[in-house]
Amino acid sequence: MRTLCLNLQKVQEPSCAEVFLKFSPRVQFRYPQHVFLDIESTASLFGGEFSVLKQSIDLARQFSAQATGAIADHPAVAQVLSNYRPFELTKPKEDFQSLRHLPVAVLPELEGLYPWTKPRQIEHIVQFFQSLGFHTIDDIQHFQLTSFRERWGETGIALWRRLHGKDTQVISPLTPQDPFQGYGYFDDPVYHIPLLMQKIDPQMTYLFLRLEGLSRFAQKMEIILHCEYSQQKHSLIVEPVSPSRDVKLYRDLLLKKLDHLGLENPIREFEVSIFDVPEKIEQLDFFEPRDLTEDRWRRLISFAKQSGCEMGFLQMKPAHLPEDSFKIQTDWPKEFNSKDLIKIENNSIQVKSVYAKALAKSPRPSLLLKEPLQLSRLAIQKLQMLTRFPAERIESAWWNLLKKKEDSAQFENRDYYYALSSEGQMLWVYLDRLKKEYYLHGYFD
Amino acid sequence: MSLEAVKEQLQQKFHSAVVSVDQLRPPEGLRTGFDVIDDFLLWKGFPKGDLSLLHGQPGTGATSLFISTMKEVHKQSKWAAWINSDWELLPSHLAKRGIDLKKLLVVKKPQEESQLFWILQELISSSLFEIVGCHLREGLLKVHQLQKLKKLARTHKVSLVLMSSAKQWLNNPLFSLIIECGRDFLTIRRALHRPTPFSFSGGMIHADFVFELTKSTRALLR
Repeated sequence: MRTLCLNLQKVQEPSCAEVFLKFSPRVQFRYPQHVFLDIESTASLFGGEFSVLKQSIDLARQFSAQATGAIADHPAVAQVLSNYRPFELTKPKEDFQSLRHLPVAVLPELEGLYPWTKPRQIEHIVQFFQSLGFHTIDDIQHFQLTSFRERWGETGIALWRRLHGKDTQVISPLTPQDPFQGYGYFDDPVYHIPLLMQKIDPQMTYLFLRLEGLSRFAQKMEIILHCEYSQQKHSLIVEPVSPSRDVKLYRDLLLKKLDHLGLENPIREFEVSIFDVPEKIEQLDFFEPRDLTEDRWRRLISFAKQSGCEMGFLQMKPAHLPEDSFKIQTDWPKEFNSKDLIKIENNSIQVKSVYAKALAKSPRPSLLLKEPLQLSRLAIQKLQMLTRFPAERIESAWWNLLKKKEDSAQFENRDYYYALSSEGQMLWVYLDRLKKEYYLHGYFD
Repeated sequence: MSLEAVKEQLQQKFHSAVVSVDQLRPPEGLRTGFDVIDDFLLWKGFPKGDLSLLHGQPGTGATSLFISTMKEVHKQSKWAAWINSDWELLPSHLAKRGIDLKKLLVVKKPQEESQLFWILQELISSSLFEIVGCHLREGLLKVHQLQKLKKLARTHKVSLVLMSSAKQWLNNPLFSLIIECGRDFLTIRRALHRPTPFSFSGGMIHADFVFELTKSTRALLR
């Protein structure tokens, strides 16, 4: 089994193993700082063992700057090499060749997935060998199993087996269990956003790396800032228009939120929580090219949404009332079909009728007033109606007539006219047949 | 004597006065789709990286001109943006005019007036759009804000088209192109290196629309 051992050089949480799931499903964390990956079957997918080693160290260094790693057949040997000969790859079935010139002082590191049960005894063994003048692994390699067993019992057997590659250690598939939460504490409460971000940033980076490892996306992120005094806390929710794994986008959105936050009461601690969703939600049309432009407009729309400003694409809806015939949505608009779908199969014809067919032919103004503007009698007299008869009549469905008495606002009965104003404006006005009032509804601009 | 030799001699004689053909190229513009306007203007349409003003009341043809330019932009598979005001763009009209709704980003009317400037800045600096349009009420933008928008538009090569009926903007030198819209006539009030005012018939811009109206009225009489 080819094993990659990453030595993260400082105490880590078990969840850090999730970061490396992209390289192999068989990943195991060993307290305090080692991550073991079984790359036997997956190395070729990433361009070979050296490439995996390089990529995984680059990834590890995003949250642990001094991280090192090595690859060997046995996890214990990989751990020793990651500490004493970082970036080394042993040849398959030749672990011993790499170990032989190392000092016996490396024996406490010869652990792999299972740490020594009696570490003091291993230290004693090292001292014993050194006192006898055995300084390298090569020197003690020739001792028989019985020699180790007689002198050091179970520990001796375990050591001999690991030195000879007889100790089987299997890396099991990782089952993620930890929630996507981060926490930070300030020794001195902070008043400044840059200082605050300096601490939040690594937490966010770490959580997003875990998301990437688990192939998940963040739907929203919640940050709770606990203040120094009065148990006050600020809750900030960052939610782009679509689930994303773009840590920069989340960071920028958070910064925008923090801009409006007064930090008179300094921040003592913070919590970061990410609400994740599976990757397939982000997957758009398979054939849709996912280029930078799309990311840019998603970013723009997210910024606007957070600032309380709605933007998106116009989606036509099958409704006769002009004000109900469209909406603004953040996703791509769908094609609006205004023709009946006729399907001919053998001797049968199937007609799927489409609602609001007339919309495609009806003239509509370019600009529509959000709220129809009621026209005074004087204003109507000044208008020049271009047609004597209404050009179009739009009324609510007849079954709404029954509701008329209950809720007159639900019922519409309009006669539309084209009109010219005294200033030369081409207008779209309608007569409300129920209220007998004229309204301006749009401009043919 | 070869052409190169002549060029060399000219360069020796006139030094910096001799410029390359590239430098003689007119500034970039976005075609409006109306030859009479495109042929007249130095930019062959709305200036790219600059401010344009369509002055006139709603219903006098400004939006038609903008929509037509948007159509030309979409033909090049590029994007446009529009900010709604009290009036909203109606997609059924746009679809009829051949506008690709997938390439038009529409912004709802900002809740606060101060947001308009911020949105315009974001839209321009995103470098996603070739043309950005919006209606501008009197006093909605200050002169220094317009100056900033002009600078941004120049940096990101975006054509910012503002539509307004406010008289305060009519002679503002910040706008490189000012077109006054009346229904019967459209007049170019200000344009770089061109003799202004220059008027042309508004019928050219509304031609399709008038035909459509007549057609629908006739259909009703049948």
